[in-house]
Amino acid sequence: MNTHDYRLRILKEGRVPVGEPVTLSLRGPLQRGVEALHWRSFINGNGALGESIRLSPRWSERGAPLVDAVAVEAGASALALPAKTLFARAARIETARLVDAGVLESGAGYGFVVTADASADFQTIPVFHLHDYPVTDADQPVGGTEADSAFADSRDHAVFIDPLVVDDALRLADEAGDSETGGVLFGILQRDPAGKVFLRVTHLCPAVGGKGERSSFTFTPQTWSIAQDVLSARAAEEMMVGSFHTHPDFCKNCEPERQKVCSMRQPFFSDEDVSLHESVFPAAYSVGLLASHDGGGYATSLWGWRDGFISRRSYLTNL
Amino acid sequence: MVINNDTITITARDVTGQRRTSCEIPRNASVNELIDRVGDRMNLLGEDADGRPIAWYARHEREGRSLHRSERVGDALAENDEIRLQPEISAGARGF
Repeated sequence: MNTHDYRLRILKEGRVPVGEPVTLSLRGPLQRGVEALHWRSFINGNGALGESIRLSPRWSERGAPLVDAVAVEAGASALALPAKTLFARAARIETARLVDAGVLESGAGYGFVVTADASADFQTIPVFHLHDYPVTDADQPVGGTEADSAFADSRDHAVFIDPLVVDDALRLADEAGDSETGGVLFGILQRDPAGKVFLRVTHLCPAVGGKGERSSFTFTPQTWSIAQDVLSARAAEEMMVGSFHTHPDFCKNCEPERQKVCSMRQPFFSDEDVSLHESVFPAAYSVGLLASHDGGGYATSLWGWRDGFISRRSYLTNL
Repeated sequence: MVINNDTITITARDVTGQRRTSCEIPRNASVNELIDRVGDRMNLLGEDADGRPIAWYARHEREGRSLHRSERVGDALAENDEIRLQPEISAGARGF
């Protein structure tokens, strides 16, 4: 149940509103929030969330109608999704539209606020429940060496990546040269004897029929179909658990001094990468494996859902 | 049991199979309309990071082929057929 209408307002210098308020869709936020709560309930061994799900605004310290976060509540579980992150894409799209319309100047910095007003009618927003998580029993706890431990977070489930998957990722990245490439990750969800749920990434299926360019990789219907066929042929009770793609050395033609400080030399998950995961891998256990070039060579990093948003995270492997 | 000859019941899944739904679709609907209706029901993302429409395609699981958008549901699918919705979507750092 949603009790409010949410609107976005772009601000220019001096926090001056510009353009008209834009009504925001809450279907995406609701889906993210419900999935995060569903997963949290599952890994904590609690029951189903039930159908009573409520969306409500968390007001800014400056008071209503300014919104700091959208709260998703289901039974005793609740999650606050920060408005600045949740609606950043909508703000970016609206800003671009205002620039195209000549209302804003290109290149200047703009902000945004989100407001909420009580709805005249309470709205029921359709929530699409993902299927129950298919989990098998593991006879021992997951082991391995933790990689990227600086990005560990107590909210994350453990992810073990087979070392062959990491090797394949680095090999595919090298073979692709200056273009991006990609793939589909297969894996299984397991529960160890202590009841701890973890994801085991078992295989990297190279993307067939994709389109690799210098700064993008397009997954086509053929890519997904062939991955599905490979998954079926392996008959290993695996499922598609995420994507793999590469970021080649974007900075190789830049001045050395600029290379040292360029953020493109750091691993990052772009808006497009997040959008791909939201579209294809919305399940909270899903992950995205990235092989990015730092000037010296490729290294892997892992990204996954954390309370409704994609974050860099640690993982386990055998080095 | 009443059988409605004007509609057909199909099952649709997303790429991973995690989202699944069954629904009745008019036989005279186009595959394009089928994708719109099922995609909306499954809450599939309609726009990419830049607000551009995401192109979704329907794979006919029994025949292992991609359906053309202009095909009629009644011509292309049989009762209880399954389709899988697949996007053409990019990862990367477009605009760099």
